[in-house]
Amino acid sequence: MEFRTDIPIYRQIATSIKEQIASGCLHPGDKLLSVREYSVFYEVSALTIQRAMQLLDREGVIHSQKGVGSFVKDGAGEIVKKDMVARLVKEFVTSMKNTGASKDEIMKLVEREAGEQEYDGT
Amino acid sequence: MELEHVSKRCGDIQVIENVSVAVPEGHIIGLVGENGVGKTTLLKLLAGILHPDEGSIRMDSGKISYLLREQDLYPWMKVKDTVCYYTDFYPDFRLEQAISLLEEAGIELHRKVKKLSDGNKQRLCLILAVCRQVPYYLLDEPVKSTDPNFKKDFKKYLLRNLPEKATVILATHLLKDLETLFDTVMVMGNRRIKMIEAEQIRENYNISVGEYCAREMNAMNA
Repeated sequence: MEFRTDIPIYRQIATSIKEQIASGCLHPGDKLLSVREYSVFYEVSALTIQRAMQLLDREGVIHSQKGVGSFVKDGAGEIVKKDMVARLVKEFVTSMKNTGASKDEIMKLVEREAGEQEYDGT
Repeated sequence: MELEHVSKRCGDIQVIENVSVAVPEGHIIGLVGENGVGKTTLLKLLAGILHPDEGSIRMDSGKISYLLREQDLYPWMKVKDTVCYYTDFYPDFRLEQAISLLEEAGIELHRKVKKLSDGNKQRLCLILAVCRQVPYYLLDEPVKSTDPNFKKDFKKYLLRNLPEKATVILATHLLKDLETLFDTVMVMGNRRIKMIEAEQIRENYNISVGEYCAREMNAMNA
């Protein structure tokens, strides 16, 4: 996996694991790979993986049991979806602001697009 | 492992002056600096091979695996004799792991060291270093002479073969390939050492570790 080198790697790994949950590769109750296995897979230190796991634990996405392993929590799917939506919204608003659009313009455009897509029946 | 007010001269060059640094345990540390700045000197000080002119170094040399250079190998010895020598000398050396890694590298046990390619000599040195089960690993430009394929797989190789809790100090000028591996970087320049966590660089400055080190080195030399 290629990482951006200008934002923390542990966050990118946590996001990668959340994407696996969102896409259904990982289900609630699934046991995650070990720190060592992730370390080799992502080619980062064990410390970085531990930080990623701690973040996921704090966010309520996984539950880590010392000596046993880490597991995807029930309800992780909801949390991850909320997280992804929040991120998409943030990226969208940031991009729109960069084009010079005002808040009102953004809201109007979103309403129109959402309405059109509803009309399509999708 | 700690340097306390250490100064060291090599010939008439002051390599470091009044440097105090505590090596963070369990971290993979990148030792970065221009060629000739003194990275090798620093590693030798940390390994106990060289001694400071001033100040003191806290370390236990029995717990350190120091990467040999190709020229440190005995050229007339066969690979298997070199490995046996290491086994006899170091009780913490893992023979089965070494044999497995040699096989993976395609290095034949009966071959004499002098007949190995430079890449394979360095490979052998690396195998000898990683197969010791110790808390500290000091690796000076470990992939300098190896082929591009191995360079590409080097991060995986290291992470697979070293203990998770190991403290690794890796001197390199190939920062771009390795920067995502490091927990901490030590930037050397102008008789000083600056130490910073890699993720702190990304979190606080939003630049790559490579970019940060380049800026630091420029600032040090200004």
